[in-house]
Amino acid sequence: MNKKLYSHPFIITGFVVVFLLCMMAIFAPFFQSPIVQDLSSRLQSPGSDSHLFGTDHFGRDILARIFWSARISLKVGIVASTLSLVIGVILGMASGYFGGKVDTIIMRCTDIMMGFPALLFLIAISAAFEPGIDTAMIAIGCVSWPSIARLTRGQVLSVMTRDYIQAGKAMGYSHIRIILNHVFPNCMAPVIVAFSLGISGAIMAEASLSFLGLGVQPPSASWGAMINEGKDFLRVAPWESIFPGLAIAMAVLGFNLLGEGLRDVLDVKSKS
Amino acid sequence: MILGVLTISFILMYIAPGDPVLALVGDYYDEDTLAQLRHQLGLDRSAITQYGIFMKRILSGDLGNSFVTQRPVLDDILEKIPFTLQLATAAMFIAVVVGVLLGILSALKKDTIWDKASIIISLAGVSAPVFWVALLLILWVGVYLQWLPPTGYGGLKFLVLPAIALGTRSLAMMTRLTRAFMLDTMNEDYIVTARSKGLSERIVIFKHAMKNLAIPLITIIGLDFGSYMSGAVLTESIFGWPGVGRFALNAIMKRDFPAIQGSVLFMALIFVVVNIIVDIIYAWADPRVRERLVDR
Repeated sequence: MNKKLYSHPFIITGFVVVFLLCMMAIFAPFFQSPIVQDLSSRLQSPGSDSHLFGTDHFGRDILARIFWSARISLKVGIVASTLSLVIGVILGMASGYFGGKVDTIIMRCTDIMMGFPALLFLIAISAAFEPGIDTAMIAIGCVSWPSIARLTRGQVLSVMTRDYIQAGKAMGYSHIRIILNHVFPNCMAPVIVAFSLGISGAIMAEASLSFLGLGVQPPSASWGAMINEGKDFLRVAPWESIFPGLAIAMAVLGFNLLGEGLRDVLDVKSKS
Repeated sequence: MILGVLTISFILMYIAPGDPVLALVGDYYDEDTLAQLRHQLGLDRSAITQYGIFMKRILSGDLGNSFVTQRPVLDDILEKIPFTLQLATAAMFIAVVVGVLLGILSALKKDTIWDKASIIISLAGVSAPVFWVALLLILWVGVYLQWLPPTGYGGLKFLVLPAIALGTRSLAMMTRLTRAFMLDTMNEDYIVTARSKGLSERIVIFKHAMKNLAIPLITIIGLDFGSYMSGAVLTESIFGWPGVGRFALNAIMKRDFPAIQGSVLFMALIFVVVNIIVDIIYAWADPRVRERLVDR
């Protein structure tokens, strides 16, 4: 499996993109601060006057802002995806392991959550509470768990038929011990894949919220907010919106490729 | 499920900080007016009573009056629903037709430049944010090339750009699904048999292989319809399309509670209805499902 892991084209490409993204986040402080304005050099086109990606309507360097935004996107992606993973895995495990009424209640809640238009729900939460990066992270985490819960439940149901679970029960092990030592390790593969794909979903969701003015608040830099600010200057300075959009697409693509590659290598089939 | 969606939307609005009455009265008000308005809207009662009144009202078809327009929310939404359905249907049409054709082309020309181009299109389509695609379309097709109007609502030509923007993600998914399906299917026994009977490649693909593609395709459409509703919020706002998505976003920004609850209810309702239709189409498309239903 290791050989397959290191030679899979999706994993290699995804890893390179994610690595670049991490480098952008790490080396952002070497660039100009994202909030420093220079009105004398506003709306400079790409390549002009030491601004590789040009400047925005406040004279801020677009490349520097893109690098700084990578920090926010990665933070939101990882925190929100971890939150949804924790909620989803706990509920999915409980649902699959205990079955009966617990299963019915959790799965009905999952159905209800899946019936909600996700972005609308996110917008409602972010607008209801104070918009900002923390609200966005919590909101995205709280909205994205249902698919992970379903996935985990499916995996648990298939693991529950195995002999070692029956043996554990016959030996009188507690539920917690069986779940933690025997069920959870055998459900890890799809959960890892879901985590990687979840990060790309969270990055996209944060960008959408920031685009609507409900995510990261100005003057902080965020790819979605940059596109939003740039849309009013689309005719005269399209680079203000084009480069941040490319950054979002690159980040989402990187985590998607990584997730798809891992799915292939770990031989995970959707059990939802 | 609809009851659950309603309950969540009520809880969300109830626990949200801030006073909706303040949003309603604007900058000039006195305490008496606020108290009177609160009483009028039932906001001075207990949470349980408010929930009971809310559910009773909704179940009897009364969604209340919008805080902003003062019109019945039901009227506002019924007026806007056709626009959203129009946009979602056009987006779905583009996604299915172009996605399936690209997928077939990609599978038949495997490992050629066509295949690679279609893989790149599908990867880019899934990764690019819908609002960015929308802005690029406005910029290039609407402003630079001036082939189509960049924003607004009118005839068919106004529908094309928002429908492409909304359908891009789905198109990418359809392309991937069709390619994978065709690669699996083209070596099946019934395809080999059809070919050995001397049938033309077109008949083999569109009559024999495509029939079996219908089932996974319908599944994806049903599952993806929720994302059309979410995408509509962004697409409609960018293109100035007068649908429920833009109405919902405006309502959220202005804290117009009845309008928010009404739009969420209708979007969830559309999702449920589409999935019921998908189940019916399943029975029509798959003889095994049909027989099982008849046996019952």
